[in-house]
Amino acid sequence: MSEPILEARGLSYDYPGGIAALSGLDLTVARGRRLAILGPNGAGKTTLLLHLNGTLRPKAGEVRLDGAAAGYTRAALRAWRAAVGLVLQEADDQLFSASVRQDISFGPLNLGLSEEEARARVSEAIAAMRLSHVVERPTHMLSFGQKKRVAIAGIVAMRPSVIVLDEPTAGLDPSGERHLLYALADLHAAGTTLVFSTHDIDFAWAWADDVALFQEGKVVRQGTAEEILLDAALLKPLGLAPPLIAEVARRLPGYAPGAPLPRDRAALLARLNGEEAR
Amino acid sequence: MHLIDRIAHTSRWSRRPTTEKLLLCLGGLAVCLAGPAPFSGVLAFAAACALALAAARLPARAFFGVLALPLGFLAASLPMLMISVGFAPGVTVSWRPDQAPVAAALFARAAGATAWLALLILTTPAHAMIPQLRRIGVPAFLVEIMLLTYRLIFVFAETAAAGYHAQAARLGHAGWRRAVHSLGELAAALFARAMTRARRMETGLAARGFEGDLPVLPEDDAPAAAARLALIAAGLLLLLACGFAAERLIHV
Ligand SMILES: Nc1ncnc2c1ncn2[C@@H]1O[C@H](COP(=O)(O)OP(=O)(O)OP(=O)(O)O)[C@@H](O)[C@H]1O
Ligand SMILES: [Mg+2]
Repeated sequence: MSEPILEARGLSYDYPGGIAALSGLDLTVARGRRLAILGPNGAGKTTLLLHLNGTLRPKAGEVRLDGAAAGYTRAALRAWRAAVGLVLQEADDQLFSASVRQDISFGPLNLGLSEEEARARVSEAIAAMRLSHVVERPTHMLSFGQKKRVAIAGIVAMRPSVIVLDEPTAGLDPSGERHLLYALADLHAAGTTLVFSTHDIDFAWAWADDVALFQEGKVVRQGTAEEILLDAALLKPLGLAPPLIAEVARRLPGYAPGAPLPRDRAALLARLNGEEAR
Repeated sequence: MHLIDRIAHTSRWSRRPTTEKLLLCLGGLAVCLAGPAPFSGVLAFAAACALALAAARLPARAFFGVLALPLGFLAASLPMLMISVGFAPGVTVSWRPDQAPVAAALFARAAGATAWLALLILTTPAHAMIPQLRRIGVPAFLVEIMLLTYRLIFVFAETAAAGYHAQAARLGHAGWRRAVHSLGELAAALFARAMTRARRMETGLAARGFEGDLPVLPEDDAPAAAARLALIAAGLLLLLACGFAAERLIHV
């Protein structure tokens, strides 16, 4: 594993009213990789993500950014949020302007960039999130999936090293999901570290390099996608089973144990066709 | 509100420079108010309608629909202008047909002014118009609040509509009394939801460096051409002149 860019050590957090959401959690985000935080509803995924950019302050433990404990002063938070971008689950919670361009320009202007630089960042983010065909429309005339991409573009325009996404594919239809994933793949290829929460094991398998398995406010185990998602014994107590695509591929005749498994539908189909051709 | 907004974003003039539209429509409004009473009003009304339908190609139904409400109210109150009430020695109410020209003049002015404003709001999206307020000295924070409110109107309208349909699906609006009760509950729920939403939006904005202001880039308006501004000004003066000319001709 490469060096960690973001870590959580012994993180605990209670919501007002004494609801324990995180209890002594450890997590490591490796630079340049895609980490899935996999866990059921109410496990505390959102609460954890809100700690990763300093929105919530832990009751115990600390978040480390680039190897140093992150601080909560105004200046420290500003630097932290420039490095770690957070995309909320609900796009409407993030979009405050009726104009797509205006909304995306907000982050860059807060970074203190000039209007000209901000304009360049806005165009860049619009291209990166494949939004050029909708920028002239007001936010309230966009589809759910398009709004989601505008919300992400608002973060992308700040060029953070890490982008944290809360359930990025929730509510998207297959084509909306595909559009989003292509755009995220570009960001990842350009070197951005991605962290996302999900309760969908197949999505985690298709998309993650690393997986943190989450249950009741703790990371039960963290490792590579293969280490975690193919371990049926580890998953069983959480009511989960290894991803279907991996299970099918493992049962194909001619599968050599230890060989890489297909991650998505297209790769599985290619393998099946290959078998038939032989 | 939704209809007006939709047309403002999709009309043929939506992308024209905001400055030009402001000069044209506020200028038309000024002509209508400054010119001789019924004539300028009628001419201004006709000019605004012609521009709206022929040049900006606004759907006639929407344009007159926007006009209908304020003008309907006005028309309904005109008879009041022709009634005079006296209090001495007893209360007397008398019909004053001689007041008719005053009422007609008022109606013509109001109709003209309303038509120019309708032309403006149906061709200019709010988020293009609101930042212009900075130019006339409205403080930044007020402009920011207006932009935010404009966006939130749609977010809450969506939430309200969803809540209403959810209630209706469970027969919450069957019958008068139940409907009133359901609406009350919906309002209370919406208030609570607005508060949570505001808190979550603060989180979302904080993630992008929010510290109290909402700076955004100005809209990339097509730059207003000086020649076209001059043309608009000339047209408005011509309209004003026509008003005076009409007054002369018709009085003679
Ligand atoms: N604002 C809040 N106030 C009080 N308790 C909360 C609040 N937000 C979350 N909780 C509680 O904290 C726990 C963790 O919630 P969290 O939203 O982090 O879970 P999650 O894994 O993101 O779930 P989901 O998959 O449903 O989004 C839950 O028990 C939840 O009820
Ligand atoms: Mg959540």
